[in-house]
Order: sequence, then structure tokens, then C-alpha cells
Amino acid sequence: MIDEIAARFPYWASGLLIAIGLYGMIGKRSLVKKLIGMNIFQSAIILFFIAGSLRHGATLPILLRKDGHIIEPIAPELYVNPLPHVLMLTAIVVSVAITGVALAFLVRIYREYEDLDEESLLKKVRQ
Amino acid sequence: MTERHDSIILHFVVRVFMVPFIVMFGAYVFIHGELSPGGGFQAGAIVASAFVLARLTLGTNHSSPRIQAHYLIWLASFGVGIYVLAGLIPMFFGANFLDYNSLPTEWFNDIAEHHRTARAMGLFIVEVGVFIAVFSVLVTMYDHLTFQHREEQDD
Amino acid sequence: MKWLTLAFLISFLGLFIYVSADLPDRGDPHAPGNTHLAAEFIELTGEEIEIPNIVSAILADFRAHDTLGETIVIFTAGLAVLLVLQVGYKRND
Repeated sequence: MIDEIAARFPYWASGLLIAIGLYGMIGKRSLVKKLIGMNIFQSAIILFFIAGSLRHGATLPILLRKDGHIIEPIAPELYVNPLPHVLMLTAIVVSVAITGVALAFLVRIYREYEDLDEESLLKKVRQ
Repeated sequence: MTERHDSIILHFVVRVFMVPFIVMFGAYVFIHGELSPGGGFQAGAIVASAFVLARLTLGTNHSSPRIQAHYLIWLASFGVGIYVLAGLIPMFFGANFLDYNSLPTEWFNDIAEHHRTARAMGLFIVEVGVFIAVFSVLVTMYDHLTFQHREEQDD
Repeated sequence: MKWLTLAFLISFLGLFIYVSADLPDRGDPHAPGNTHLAAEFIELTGEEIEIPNIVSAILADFRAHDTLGETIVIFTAGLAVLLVLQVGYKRND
């Protein structure tokens, strides 16, 4: 039982963070809080992938060197899985880009309507 | 956020300690990115954070007047252009797009000793393009999000 | 409405924990995602590219087309911010 929990808790933690992000996107009325919820959601996905890349008994994905030369032969089981790190590195940059564009939209909406609350904004748009 | 902050201690600390150190650390992360954790994306974000810090405390007009918001997007397209050029050059040597293996190695054997293979050198050129693009896009996003229009200043 | 949101989130979390029983154990060296392609990338980095940082090698060489798309995405995001905030206003300088 305790082994089962120890093998699963990073997944559960990122699931909890996904739920918090979804609550921010669904349950809050302010558009800024929706954006913060989306950021939490993206961070949870990133943590999920990074937790999945771990291997027990492995070190970080930099090849070990001796006197400036890579040690041959290379043992793949000595390093954690580098592929999720690469994918999440690009995902972080995409999340920054999404946040910037979303903030630009929010600034533009606030200049037009002077309001960022969802329901009163919908009323003002429909008028 | 675009005005100059009043505290002179803040100015001193930011100008003398924070910004030079962050820029130097970003340069280290970029240049050392093939031997240790780092690379174009991370170094671009670090150097952009130094510029944003200078804009937050010293004011946009005082921090770096030569780098204006309207010209940074040209720099970003320059970075993307470096990347695309690094992909196009191998095509002149009869290889595929972004296949650095066909680059003649004797070009850059003298430049750096630890760049032994052509693929490592092509990788470095690509990282330069990514660094320029990420840095200038992040700074241009901050500049445009805090840009004060004349119409708004009047009323 | 609030209770509906809460019920949705709790059911989502329950489903997530139920499904996570099928995921591989944390740190399992023989998990499917950790074996085939990752081992090949690590070996090829040492043999063909000869730089120590595997993440940089995958980012800018093996998956170079992906990173090219990524760079164009952030460039487009910067362009979008510029267009959304500047169109319809006069220049200030």
C-alpha cells in the first residue's frame, strides 16, 4: 500500500494542480484569474511530464566526462530520460508566449470597456 | 510601470549589481550550454529578465533608449532568420534541410577546439538564433504591454 | 452553479487517481517511455554530436524542425502582441 502511494504521489499532485487550474478557469469570473488558472494548468502538465522522466539510480542528462572527453562506452541507463525535458523546455516557452498574447488581449479589452469581469463584460458587449 | 522609481538605493543596486550580474550569468548559461544545463531558450529568458528589471526600476526611457520597442521585433525576425539560414546552408552542400552533418568541418576547426563535429557547430548557430528570438520577443512583449498612448495621457 | 463546478472537479480528480493506477511506477527504469527512443538518443549524442548536454543535442539537432516551429511560434506571439496593442493608435515618438 505504502509502495503504491510512493510510486504514484507525483501524478496525484499534478492532478490536484490541474484541478486547481481548472477551477480557476471555470469557477472564477475575472478574466485575469482565468489566465492565472491557465498558467497553473500548464505548470501542472510540465510537472507531470518531468515526474514521468525520472529513473531510479540515474543522474541528470549531461554525459559524464573525464579530462574534457566523453567517457566511452555510453551507458543509457545512467541518465534520466532526456526527451520529456526537451519537450517541456519548449512547452514553457510556448506558455510564456500564450500568456503574453492573452495579457495583450486583456489590455485591449480593458481599454475598450474598462472592465474585466466576465458577466458584466458580456452585458456591455451585447448592448 | 514605465516611470522612473524614486529610490536612489534601488537605482544603485540595480545598475551596479543586479543587471550586470544577470546579463553575465545569461551569457554564461548560453556559452556553457553545451557542457552543462543551459542553452538558447534559458539564456534568452535570463537576459530578457535583466532588461525587464531595468525597465521596471529605472523607467523605460532611462534604461536603454537605443533599444526601442518598435525595433525589437526586427531583431526577433533576425533571430528566426539565423535559424532558417542555418537550415538552408546544408542544402547548398547537397544535404537535406537542417542536416548539419554535411557542413565542411575544416571551416571551424581553428575557431574552437571542443567543436569537433559539424553537427555541434550547426547546433551552436541554431542556439544563437533561438537566443536572439526569445530575448527580443520577451522584451518587446513587456514594452508593448506597458506602452502609454498619447490619447490616454491626455484625459 | 458553484456546486456543479465543484462536483465536476472532484469527479475529474477521482478519475485521474483511478487512471493513474495504470501509469508506470515513478522512477521505473523499464517503463516504456524510458527505454527505446530515449536510450537511442543518449547513445547517438555521444557518438555523432560529441557534446555532453543531451537536452541541447535533442533540442537543436534531432528535433531541429520542432524547435524551428517553436521559434516561429514565439516570434508570431510577439508580432500578435504588437498588432493587438498598436493597431488603431498613433505612434508616440
